Amino acid sequence: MKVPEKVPDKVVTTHLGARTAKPFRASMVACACLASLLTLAGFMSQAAPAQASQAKAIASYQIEAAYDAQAKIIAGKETITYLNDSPEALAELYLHLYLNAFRDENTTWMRESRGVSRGFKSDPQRRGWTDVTAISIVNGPDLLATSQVDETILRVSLPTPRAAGKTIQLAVEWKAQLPRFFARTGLAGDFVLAGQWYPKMAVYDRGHWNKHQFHANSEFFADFGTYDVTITLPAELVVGATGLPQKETLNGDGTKTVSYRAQHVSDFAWTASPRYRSATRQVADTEVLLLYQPESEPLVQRYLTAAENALVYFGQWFGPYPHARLTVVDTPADAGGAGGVEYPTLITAGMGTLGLPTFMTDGGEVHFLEMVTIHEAAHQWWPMLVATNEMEEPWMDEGFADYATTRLLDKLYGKETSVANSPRLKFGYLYLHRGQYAMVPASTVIYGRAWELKNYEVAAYSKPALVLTTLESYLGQERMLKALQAYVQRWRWHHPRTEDFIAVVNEVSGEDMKWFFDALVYGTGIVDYSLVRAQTQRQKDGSYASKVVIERKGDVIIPVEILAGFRDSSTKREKWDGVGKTVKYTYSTPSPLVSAMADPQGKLAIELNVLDNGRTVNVQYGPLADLSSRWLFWMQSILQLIGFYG
Amino acid sequence: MGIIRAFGKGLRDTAQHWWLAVPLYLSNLIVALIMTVPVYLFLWQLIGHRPWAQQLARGPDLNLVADLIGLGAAARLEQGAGKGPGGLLLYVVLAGGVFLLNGLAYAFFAGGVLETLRRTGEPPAKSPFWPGCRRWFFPFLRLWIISLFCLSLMVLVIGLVAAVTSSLLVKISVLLALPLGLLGHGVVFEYARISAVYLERRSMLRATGRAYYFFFRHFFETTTLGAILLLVAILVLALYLVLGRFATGLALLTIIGQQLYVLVGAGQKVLRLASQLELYSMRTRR
Repeated sequence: MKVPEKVPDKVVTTHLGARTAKPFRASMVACACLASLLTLAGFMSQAAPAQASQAKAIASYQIEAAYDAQAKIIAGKETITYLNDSPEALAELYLHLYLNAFRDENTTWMRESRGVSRGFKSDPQRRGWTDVTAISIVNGPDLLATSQVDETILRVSLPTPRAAGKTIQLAVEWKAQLPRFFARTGLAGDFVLAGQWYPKMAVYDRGHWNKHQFHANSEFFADFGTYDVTITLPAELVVGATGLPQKETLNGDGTKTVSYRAQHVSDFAWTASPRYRSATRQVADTEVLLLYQPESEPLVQRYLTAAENALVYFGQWFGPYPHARLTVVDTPADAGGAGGVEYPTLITAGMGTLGLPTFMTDGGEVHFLEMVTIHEAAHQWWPMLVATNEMEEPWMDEGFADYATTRLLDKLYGKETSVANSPRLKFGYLYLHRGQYAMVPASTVIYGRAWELKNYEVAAYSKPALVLTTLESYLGQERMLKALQAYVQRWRWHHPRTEDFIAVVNEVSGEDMKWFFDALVYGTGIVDYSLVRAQTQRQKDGSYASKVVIERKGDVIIPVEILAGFRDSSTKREKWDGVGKTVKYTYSTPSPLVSAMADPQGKLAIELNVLDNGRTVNVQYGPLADLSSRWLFWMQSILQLIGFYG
Repeated sequence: MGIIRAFGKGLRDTAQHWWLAVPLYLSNLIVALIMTVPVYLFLWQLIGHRPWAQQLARGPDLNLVADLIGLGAAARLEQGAGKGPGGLLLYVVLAGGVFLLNGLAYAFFAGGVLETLRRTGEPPAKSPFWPGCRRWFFPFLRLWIISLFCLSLMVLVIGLVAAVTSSLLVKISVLLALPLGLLGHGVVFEYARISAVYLERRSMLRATGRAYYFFFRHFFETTTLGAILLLVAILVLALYLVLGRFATGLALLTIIGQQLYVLVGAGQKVLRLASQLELYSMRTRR
């Protein structure tokens, strides 16, 4: 049995504005310095909002739980210390009982999803549920009688409202059954991934409780706090969890008790399996712990390198990863849909998530493993650090994570080969997004609640990734990264909304970007340019008069570059602001125009149709003849096949 | 052994009358060209002036596929919601017309091919090819209609069985039977043509009955001969694919190779008819 080593949590003090000194990692100093520099340089033209001042422990948990591997039941007790950080007194509290989403077929989640998640069906023989058996105020009255359960929401009425700024401690006892692995949590044989396994405080934010039922397309939303968790479970299980291990005790009855502590996190998940092997890699101040299946031995270095790349580059781009450990879990093949899940400081990857046959991954040419690992690692920034509301604005975590993933994959493997680069298959992640975006109606909006979005995967993942990539092209890499760094600085451990991100972008860029977000985030704007004419004509004096015409077909007015290429290899570059329906460029040159291209570098990632961006002056008979002769041959073969025997 | 003799005789007859493949090849080429011209015009409009034409010609590229989806989306947006791709519909209609034309061409040439093969070894006289084409065109046209009717019936029955049965095993078995049924159907109606020409009977209903009887009466021989001919087709395809690898990047050579393959395919048709005619003549009294 392997036990992950404990990594000491480094404690330093940050000096950001009027912040209270917080225990934190040394690497955050660099981030703090950067923020100070940005402030000095005037990137932050106004003072950071009060909510960005520090990470507050709003909801902290002390949990003691026992996992009965035979009955597959978790029985637990927890003390929740909840700080009313709002300016109002709270007369009631809300807790999430997420596992109740899988109690039967009539829950909101099951009705919306029809019992299917990521292509895997819920097992009716192995449902999930949480039963709260006791709840009271610590050293105070019992609250069970006055509490009400509505599917996945527990409403707790307080005998007296809790005043603003005051804390309350709740003692909760519960039992939970994890489902057969389904929708980010559950069991598969002796593999356990316990997510959303304990009663968890809802978030009171901006004057209202986020007390939404657990919806099919929704993820989670929680406040930050400290978790001290003790779990008793079979001794043969190797355990990984959010945070850092503190202690492990063998109980002498075939069980052991492990304890973990996690600070500055918004959730706690754990995983266990007797088959886990472990590997580690130190990346600056962070240890990457990989828990993997024995059959995944050949993939170990790829997992570790992917995680390392994520920590290094995302750290450089957005701000350092603030924890001492990142646990990466390689999930077993029979745990359908377990790969590709994010929890604070713990992510799952695994090849099973995309249903790829192994032969495609051999040789390291297909980067799905890296894609999933990097995407989940990106979630450590969005939303584990910048804790956006995954329920109400899923684009702000999935979209940002996919933008970050696209950016890193492009950097590591090239734009056109970021997902696959083999003789048989070349595919870029950005192209995947573009294809997905084009497959759904143009009316697909990014902004909205997870369960109300149409074409969720595109609205939450692909389109936002394209929008943010386009924003980067518009602002330029430097301004974009400054904006993202400022956004992280200001909103880490807090709950920003779309408008808060826009405000940071406006501030850092020094431009009012309302038009951009109105069109592409809140609206259904289309970016599309077409190069409709490229002509050249020999003049009497031997020079050539050439003409290039570009048409804006989309309704979004965004600047676009144009490149005209001439036979003598010379080029002319133009930049059109996109205003007006068409623009015409004329040239008088010694060499004839060969071709012209709008957006030659593909900066407008969100552009709907990029295939009409370029135009050659002469007809390309070669490819035409090649394709036509192939078509002719196929037609002949089909006709022969039809008449093969009759 | 009868099968080997039939196949050997078929080979010899095909070698002697190799030119019979030419009209079959030419009719195939003309019909396929009718299908290709609109595609050429479409491609000319779509990629004639586009730099990605080279990329498209290079072969499968998922990135390009993703961008093509964007092109389709933009076209849909431009056409307006609810409007279907009219060009595609027209092309489907054209494909239907071409299917008819292909059937007519075969109905015409099959008679000439069979008459020529039947008279192999007879004293040289006026070539029986064109008279054969004319003589058997209308009977074979009727036979084609009967063939389509039988084919529809077979597909309907197989589809109904697959739809009605609840057993997955039966469903899979029935669906696997479909391609075999199609092959068998093709063979039976070749024997119907052979029977009509060999016996010089112009009733196609009876020819169909005789063909079914012959097929099942000599089931082992007809299917084994069919399998041998199928094997020949597979070998030719394999040879084409192997040789094709050497011609990569040589456009003209590739086109010549493709057309040779189609011509050899037409030759295989002659071989099939010659071999089956020989088997039929060995087992049937005139």
